[in-house]
Amino acid sequence: MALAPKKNKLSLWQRIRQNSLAYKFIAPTFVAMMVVHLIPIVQGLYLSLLDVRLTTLTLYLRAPFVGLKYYIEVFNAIFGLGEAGASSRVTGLINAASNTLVYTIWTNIGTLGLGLILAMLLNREFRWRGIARTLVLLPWVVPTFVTGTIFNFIWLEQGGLANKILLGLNIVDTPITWLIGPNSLYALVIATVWRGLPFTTIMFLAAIQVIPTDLYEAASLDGANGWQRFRHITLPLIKPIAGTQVLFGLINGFYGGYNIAVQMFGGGTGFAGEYADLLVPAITRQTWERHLYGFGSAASVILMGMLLVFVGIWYRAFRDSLRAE
Amino acid sequence: MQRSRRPFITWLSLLTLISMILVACGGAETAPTATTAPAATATTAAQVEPTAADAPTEVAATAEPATAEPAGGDVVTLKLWHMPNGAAPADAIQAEIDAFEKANPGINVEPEMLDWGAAFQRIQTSVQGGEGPCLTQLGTTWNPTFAAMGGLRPFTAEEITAMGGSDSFVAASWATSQLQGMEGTFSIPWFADVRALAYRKDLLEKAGLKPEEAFKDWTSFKATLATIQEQNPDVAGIAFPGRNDWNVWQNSSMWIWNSGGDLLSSDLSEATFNSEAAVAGVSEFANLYSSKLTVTNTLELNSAQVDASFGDGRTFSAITGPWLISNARTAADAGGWANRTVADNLAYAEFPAGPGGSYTFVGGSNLAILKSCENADAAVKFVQFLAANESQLRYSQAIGMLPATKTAQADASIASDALYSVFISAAAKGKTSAPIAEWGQVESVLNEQLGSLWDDVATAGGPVSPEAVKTRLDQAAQTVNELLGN
Repeated sequence: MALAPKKNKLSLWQRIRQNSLAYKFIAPTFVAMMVVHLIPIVQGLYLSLLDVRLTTLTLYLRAPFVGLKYYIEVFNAIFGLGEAGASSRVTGLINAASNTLVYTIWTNIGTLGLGLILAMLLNREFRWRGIARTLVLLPWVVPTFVTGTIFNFIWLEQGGLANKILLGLNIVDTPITWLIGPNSLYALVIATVWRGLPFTTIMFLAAIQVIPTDLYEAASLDGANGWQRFRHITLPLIKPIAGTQVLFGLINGFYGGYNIAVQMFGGGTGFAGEYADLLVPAITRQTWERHLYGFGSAASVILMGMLLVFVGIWYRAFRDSLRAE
Repeated sequence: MQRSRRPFITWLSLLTLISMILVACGGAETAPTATTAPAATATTAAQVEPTAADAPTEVAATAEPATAEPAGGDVVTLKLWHMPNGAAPADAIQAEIDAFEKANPGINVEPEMLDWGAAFQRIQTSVQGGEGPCLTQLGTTWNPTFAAMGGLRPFTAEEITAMGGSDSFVAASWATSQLQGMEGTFSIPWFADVRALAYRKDLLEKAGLKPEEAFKDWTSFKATLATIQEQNPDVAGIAFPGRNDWNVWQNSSMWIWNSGGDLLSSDLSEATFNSEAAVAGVSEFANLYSSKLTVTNTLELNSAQVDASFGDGRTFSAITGPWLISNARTAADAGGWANRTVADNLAYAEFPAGPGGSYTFVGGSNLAILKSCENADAAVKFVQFLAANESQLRYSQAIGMLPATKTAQADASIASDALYSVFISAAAKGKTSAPIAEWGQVESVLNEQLGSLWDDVATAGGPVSPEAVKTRLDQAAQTVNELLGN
């Protein structure tokens, strides 16, 4: 709503009447979206207040009401508070939360940084540019489950592609263990960046392509060097796109990683180990395997709340560049 | 023109909208009815005309009695959910369906293959919503969960007698069809997944060792691995999956049992996998890695990758199952190991005994009829067909597992086979998961803590202390006890 032009002083109802045909077209979609989005969200919120477990699952929304019990439990588990901190029946959430934060930061740095560099390279005139642009898109069409499986083989300590390259180029002397131990989080980050890179690259490329070339020419005439042209022309003009990318990155970081983690580690069990366990895999695993459905709903609502805080911060940071459109 | 079209568009939009709402509400309305349908309704429905599966709405309306036998050439359609068993899962199940349909012209079986990773949730959703297949494969550890949810139709005493009675099944497998605290048999064992130690007999002979001595107990086992490694610098002693696998708790549990420990107390109310004996067993297992007796990257491998490293000759032994037999006997161009050294030299041994004896894990899969099944009689027929000797032998060999019935296991094609016979004697001493509704939770917690223990082992740079193992197991025990309501 905040994106609406300021000039328009008509009320919502007046605008609907003025554009009634358009609204009639939108109406079915609007209602359908309400049905498929709003009802499950409300059900999820209500479920988080109920004691839905294995034995009460068939009662579903008629399960006993427990109020905020699960919220308190999840808060304690995430923030290590209270008696039910480290060893309650919901374990490892604090660890998963901190992994998720590191994962989100690194995947964003990776996809945005590399995406921008790739986009600028692909914007230059060179032979085979068309082929290069197509190749960059390839990881995008690989399903995330397949990405996880492929990277499981790439990271193998013995015979894995990553170690073969690193050893072949003499970057390391002994093969690196990726799939177990502390490196597993970075194995997950790199796989995620590989999968996410085409999207950011294409978005940045589209943004760079619409920048008028005469701006660069004028700057060159004034004696601006490459860095200055990038700093004062490219960067400000791609800021709105960058803002959107950061938002996608935040959401993907918080909610993402599931498919790749499940296939890359644990052979499908969803447990990537303490070093690489993320919030969504942890909540999914504990909800379904431990049959703590009410708890799972509460944890998801809290995760949504945490993400909203970050989206709020994001909105503050990028508000101006979004309005500039 | 424009004006006259407007009402049309408005009406069209409205119509779409209303139909969407109706569809959405319709789904919501029917689900609870099916969920709350008492067992009696399901039984009645089962006796209704076979066309019921095609027109479920008519079932409720039809009050007149009918027989389960297809009348006037009508065909009953049975939906079957199964998981990818063996190397060619679709072909293997289709062979059974073809044979069954030939013998029972009135019944049509429609298989649908579910991924192991998605199957549990799919079955749970169908149990909860009251809609799903008639018949489903269940991992043995899932039986108590779905039985406790009230989603499974118990088999009657007569039906079980017709299959030869409970005694005709391997004891450890039969145990997985029960639920503690509730009378009844909720599923029928289909095939057994028994674990043992696969090894290379050529390398053992070269070392001048006899299998009965080499794999006698933990001490002789470790000495054997060390000797083999010394004589064959390119071959590691053993490979087993670490954290990145489904079998984390199964592989550790054998060391707990052999050490004299157990997973839960005898009344199944409390975790005992953190007892002194259990900690000793798990430590023994964990330190095979730090003693450098394993393939160097064994902890990051999954079961399939462990099998592959055994097949490639990189390791002398591996913790695995009977499916390697079919690998060894399948031609190379069909993906098998024929013409490889390992194919001619594959042998199996039971797990080396610890202070508590020698046990092995018996898992596998069962067949269950969902309570919502409208053609339960036909489903029972199919289960009885799959539990009969002919199908047991054919299917288990096609997928590389062990049959679940004693008669099939005693068949000459298995009992006199040097490779399969090890599994038959191991299965007789088999142990398995506890038949409690909360088992899935116990398993989940164990997998997390034992999985993290493999992270500890990988990063320790030396042996992991029994205290470190105990810390992990204590934490798991505390969580499990809380889940069990202690």
